[in-house]
Amino acid sequence: MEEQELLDKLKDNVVEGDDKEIRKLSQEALDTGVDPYKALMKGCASGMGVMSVRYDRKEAFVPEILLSARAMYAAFEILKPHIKVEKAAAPGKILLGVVEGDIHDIGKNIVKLLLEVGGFEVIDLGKGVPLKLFVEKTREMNPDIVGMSALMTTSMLGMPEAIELIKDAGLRDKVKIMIGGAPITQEYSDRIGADGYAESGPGAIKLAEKLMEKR
Amino acid sequence: MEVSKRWLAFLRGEKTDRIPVIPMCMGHCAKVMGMPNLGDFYSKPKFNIQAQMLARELYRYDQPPFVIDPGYGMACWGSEIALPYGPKMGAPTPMVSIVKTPEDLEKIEIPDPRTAPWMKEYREMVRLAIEKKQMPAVVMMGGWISATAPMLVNLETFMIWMVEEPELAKKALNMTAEFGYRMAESFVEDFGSDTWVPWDPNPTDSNVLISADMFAEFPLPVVKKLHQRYLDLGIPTLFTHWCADHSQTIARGYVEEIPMGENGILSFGPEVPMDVQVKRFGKRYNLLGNPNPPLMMTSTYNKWLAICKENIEVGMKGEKGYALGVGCELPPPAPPCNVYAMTRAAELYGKY
Repeated sequence: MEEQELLDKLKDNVVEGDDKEIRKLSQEALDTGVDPYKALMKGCASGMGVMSVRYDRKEAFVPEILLSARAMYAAFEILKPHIKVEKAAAPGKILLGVVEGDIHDIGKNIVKLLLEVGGFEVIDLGKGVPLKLFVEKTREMNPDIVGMSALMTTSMLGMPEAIELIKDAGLRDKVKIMIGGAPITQEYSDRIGADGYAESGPGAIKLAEKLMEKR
Repeated sequence: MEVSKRWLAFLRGEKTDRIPVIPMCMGHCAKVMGMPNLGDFYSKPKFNIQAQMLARELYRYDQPPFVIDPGYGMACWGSEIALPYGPKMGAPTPMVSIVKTPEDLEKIEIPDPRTAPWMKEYREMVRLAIEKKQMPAVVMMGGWISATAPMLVNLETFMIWMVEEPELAKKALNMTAEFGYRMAESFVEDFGSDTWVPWDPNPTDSNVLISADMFAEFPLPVVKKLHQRYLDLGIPTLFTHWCADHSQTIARGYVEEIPMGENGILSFGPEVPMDVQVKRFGKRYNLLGNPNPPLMMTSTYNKWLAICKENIEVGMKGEKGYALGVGCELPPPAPPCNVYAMTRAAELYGKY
């Protein structure tokens, strides 16, 4: 198979969410000497880009995104060990988590996936993250951006507390902070002193890129 | 007019002196009682009903007790939950779903609504509310995706089944629907059919997660049948909270396909403008107002009063009936003055 054809098929299989076929194609890419970074970014990631646009336009929904993510990660698993480190240099490092008291993580997981597809290095703290852990991990991992998500009106109140804790630890100038989740608004983001808010997963990627430019 | 009478009149489709105020206030009642978290509120029947009755008296709104299974529709199946004793927890929290594989689903049996975990406490809450002649709104966990994933099946697994193993997804929905029906049947046996109102909230069925096509294929046929079975038990009125954005589903006309009984109550998230609701549903259903809940936390008293006024002025045009509500559960941390503002707004702007 020609390289372009292979890249197109990788893309199509991410869109279709076929994790079995994409494993074969990823292996074929390696066997035929296609640059694994190119296979990942020009093939798989561009398929995820298609899904991201469809999701944003409400043409694709969470079930399809989950299937595409599964296919994307299947290819990632095969291709990643063969990618030369310098090629994989990330545009930024992001610490991500759903704040304490909240376990709704589908939105956070979609943002994580899209950030990874965008080349970001993501440190996922998971869900129900104690506020102090955001501070500890910021100190330890030195991220460019801290991203916090909340779905509950009770847990969203943890966001300003986490920001205060980051300030108190003397780390606020070293990181940008972005927030998101169903009850969050731009007004709330401004009020609590975050650096940005995004309404959707694809919007979060654009915001992360914008915040990186400001660093 | 006494507060409890407004709710009852609303259910009967009768006009009241002013619009009722039904703010879907639950966790906030624990704050009214001075509790540091919501754990006791969700798990202790006497405390739950007392807190709801006192909050109503204090704020003078018209809401009856809203009763939720302390096991959140999960523990009854054997799934794990955490009660909200932790900081910033807003409700019982799903931890681990019992069904993760098709084999798990094969093995599972429909629980007994009288003996499964937390059913005793749940039934006791309903009993206490009915004893006070309050006509409680009782959450029924059945039939919707929101009552099935993650309650029975892991959410991501369920979402993938909808595409790859649709029969498994339908089987799971039908299982929770059957449980919901058996629960309703047992309540009717114990308390009668016209002393409580089944209430089903459905955030996971929204177009934030699934398409209108998926809604039509999966929950819609199951919920249509389930609601009809509730009505066949002699229950006169059903109440559904269409949580979050259901715009695509509404546009397809699926809401109207679901039986709601006489004076059925529809409540929508703030994503569905009140004028759209009035135009589309106002002749046929009782509507609940839907100011945006987070704004209730961040607005001043005057601003929130103005937001309520705006909602009332549009909502009152609904011919069947309108009560001032919030677009989702009243935020537990809401400032008390803004809860009071809702009653005040009804008194100032909601008189018939």
